[in-house]
Amino acid sequence: MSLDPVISAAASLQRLDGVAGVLLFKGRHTIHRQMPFSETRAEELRERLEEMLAGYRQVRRRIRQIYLEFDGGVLLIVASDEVSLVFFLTSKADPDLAASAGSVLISDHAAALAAASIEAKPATSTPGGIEELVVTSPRALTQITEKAEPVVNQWGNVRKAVEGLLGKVMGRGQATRLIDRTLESMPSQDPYRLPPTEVRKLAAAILDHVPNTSKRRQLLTELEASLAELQL
Amino acid sequence: MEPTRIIPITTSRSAQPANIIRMEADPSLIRLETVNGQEQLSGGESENAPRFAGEVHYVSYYAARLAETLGMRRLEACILEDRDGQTSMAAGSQPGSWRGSIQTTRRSIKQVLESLGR
Repeated sequence: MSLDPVISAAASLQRLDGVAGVLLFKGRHTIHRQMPFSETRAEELRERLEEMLAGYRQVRRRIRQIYLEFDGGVLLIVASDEVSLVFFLTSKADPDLAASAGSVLISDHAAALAAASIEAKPATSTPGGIEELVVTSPRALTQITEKAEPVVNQWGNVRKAVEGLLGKVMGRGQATRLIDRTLESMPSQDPYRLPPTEVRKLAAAILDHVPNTSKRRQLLTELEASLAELQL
Repeated sequence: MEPTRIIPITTSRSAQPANIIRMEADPSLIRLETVNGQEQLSGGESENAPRFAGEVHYVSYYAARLAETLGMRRLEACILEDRDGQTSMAAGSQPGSWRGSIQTTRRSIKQVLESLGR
């Protein structure tokens, strides 16, 4: 059974506010890993968590959730049997929301996760370290290209900045509707998949709807400052 | 306006100003203190207290290793949930001191953190 839908769903969890990283694993099998640090460190984290959870399993204790608040961030582990979904959260996150989304993911993909191996996937080694990629159909090529794109960008923060700016010239509801209408008119309706340059263009396009020329110019200047802060 | 004060229920009720709220101490709250290398447990039900200490030891061991991986210093709070309930713990200001509880009901993370005073 393919794990692709589980991987897509796990990747989308990163869009929740304050979620800095997501790691989904079953035993030694890392199903999805998107952490804000190196692969080696993420693998070490998986090993230590798996060791901790294995200890609970050994005494037949069915752990559902572990919230670990450190001085610099939070690890939230949602577990079901041998499957563990780990969130790395910042102080901005709503841990209850993340836990709930994690439980839903595990329950929605229970069959695929149950069928998944607990053994680590063997690394595909090819001479010279070059991996061979066999593309079987144009559709597969599209899927691979989509996966290669950055799944999450700064859209969440940019949207907040744009809402703040629009709030200076219109009501909150009107601003939200204006953003939603602009998003609906986009060819690709997922702003989180846009590259940084397109996110900038989208933010500017929303502000272009402000009818008053001088106010619009002022807002666009402020937008530039906000985007610079977000390093876009 | 005078600030609100919280005083233990055991203090005298005589001449109590209107701005004083009397709060019952949480009977389920367990404290684990380490004094001169000796662990002292207080509060909570007699069967829960040693279990709480066991939970703290296990979690602390792995938390120290996880903190090392994450480049952090220490664990400040933990909520452990299994099918039987929740164990919560928060680190005290002194090393080796913890407070928390073992509950059979499930509460949200936010509620548990509030009950731990975080």
